[in-house]
Amino acid sequence: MVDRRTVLKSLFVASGIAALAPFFPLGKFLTPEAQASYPRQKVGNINDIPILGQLFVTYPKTGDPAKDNDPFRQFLIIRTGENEVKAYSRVCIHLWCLVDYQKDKDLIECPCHGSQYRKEDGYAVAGPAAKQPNRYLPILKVEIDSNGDIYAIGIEGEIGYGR
Amino acid sequence: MADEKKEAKSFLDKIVESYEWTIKRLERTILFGIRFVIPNKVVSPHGFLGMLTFITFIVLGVTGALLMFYYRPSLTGAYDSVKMINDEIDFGIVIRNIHYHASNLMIFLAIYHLFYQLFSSRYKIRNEIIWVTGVILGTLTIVEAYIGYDLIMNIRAVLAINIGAALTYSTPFIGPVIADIVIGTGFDDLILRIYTLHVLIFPMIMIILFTLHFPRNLVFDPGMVGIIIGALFITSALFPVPLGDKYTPDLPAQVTVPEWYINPLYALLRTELDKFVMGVLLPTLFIMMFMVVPFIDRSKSMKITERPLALGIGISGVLQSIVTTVWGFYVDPDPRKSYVERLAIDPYLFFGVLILINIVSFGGAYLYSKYSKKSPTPPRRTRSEPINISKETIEGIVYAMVITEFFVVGVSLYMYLLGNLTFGLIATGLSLIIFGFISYGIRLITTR
Repeated sequence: MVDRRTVLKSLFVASGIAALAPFFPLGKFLTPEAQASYPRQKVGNINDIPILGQLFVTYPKTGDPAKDNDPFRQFLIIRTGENEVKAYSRVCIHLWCLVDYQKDKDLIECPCHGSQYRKEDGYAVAGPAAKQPNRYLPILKVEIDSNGDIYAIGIEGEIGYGR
Repeated sequence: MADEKKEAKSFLDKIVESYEWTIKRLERTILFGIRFVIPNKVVSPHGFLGMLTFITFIVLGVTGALLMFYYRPSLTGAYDSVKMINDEIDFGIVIRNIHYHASNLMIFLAIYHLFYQLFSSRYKIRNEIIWVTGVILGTLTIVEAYIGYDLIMNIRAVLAINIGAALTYSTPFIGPVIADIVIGTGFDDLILRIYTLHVLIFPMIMIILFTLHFPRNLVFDPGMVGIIIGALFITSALFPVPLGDKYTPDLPAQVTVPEWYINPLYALLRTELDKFVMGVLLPTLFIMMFMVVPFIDRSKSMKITERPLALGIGISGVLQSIVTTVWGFYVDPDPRKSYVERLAIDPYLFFGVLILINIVSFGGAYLYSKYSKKSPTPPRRTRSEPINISKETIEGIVYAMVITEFFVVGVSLYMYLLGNLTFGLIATGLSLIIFGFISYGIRLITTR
């Protein structure tokens, strides 16, 4: 038989733990929800980029530099043809350093741990990113109008994780 | 009669009385739970490395609080405010350099303290809790320093933040929760949050842990404190910390090596194996290896040579730390090669070396302890002879040093007046070092 003292002691502990439970939802205070919307925005003009040149763009742009400078809003656009561009997230899918396109090597490279992606489809060909479960850089979906203006319309894949 | 007695009391008596009154009341407070011991002899600083680490912590607190007057924790304002501290604020560059070098010194002293305590097996004398809190404090010190250099928001800081965030996310279960809390909705939230962690939450946790880490008797040696802080000031003057390039979204990629205390982790990540295992699990296991020492080293002996396990952990710890730190620094400078060729570390070579270090350390320690048991007991360490200089000579040297110190202090003030902060700070450091030696000189005389 469990004696009365033990029962009361366990009840004391149980009620103490129960009293803590309402504090857990307060964790929401620590983790605000980010508003994610991807409007159609002009990010540049194709005629400003030389063939096999790159342009760094911010998307989605809010006008507030404190938000716009966020690495997760940084993309690079490579002009691959007369009227053709490739646009990827600059965040390496390995450890989130910022990649850029190296014209002489014809590769997108990460300066931290040396991951390499090919410009055609953002596929990681070498380095630690090639060992991640998703090996493609997220794509910035773009449209080019008759004036050569480049519009970003959305993101394919999850930034920092690939697609 | 009573009035006469009151008048008979001199001014000095009143001071003594109020001093005693205050002491009696202070005895009721927690302050008197700690005993400060000022050594009456010239003793090796190895015995109070912890105190020196704490003094450095105080220096960091003071300089850090001063930096808070100007630093702006925001994605757009942080770098410019640090640049302003550096270039525009009077003595800003001095405060910032001291803060930076003090962080390096604190980490170095904490690691030195750990290995000295390990090799002298102090954890054996009911110091297990002090040992464990010490390992936690050392880890917190490194994390605190890492957050500190992130706050500058140069390109190196942003890459370090990104890597830290990605590694935190890669940790199962608890990682994403922590990362979401630290990052908030993005970098602008993140910078304010890591700032709060850096200036308030981490120091507060550390101060609370100090109560579980400090022994009852604290050795406070003014001489060594003067020498250490003086050396810190001179280092700060000679090696100013660069600002780095401001992070802007359109900055091209560049290779940056982290601070030296993060280098082992950088070397591990460059082996290109799983990021969680390399960046989180192995470093944690390395720290755990130290934490469990008091609980797995059950040998009765206090002599390190008779405790092969602790000796092995000590030697392998020192060697692995040095090798991984140096390896992390090395980046092939050839710009024609791709980043991956310059940065990749061959995992077979890297872990081959680490395994070899462990075999040599533990094997060597085992063989050494076995061999030294067979050998006859070594002769007892003879007490070092007192320095054979006459009291008068030492007294003369002390007088000379006091005059020199006053002169150097004068030079220092004059240099500040001229606006030459580098020479001013060197002279300030020098005067503190001379003060330290004066303290030792006087101690030598009074203990004869």
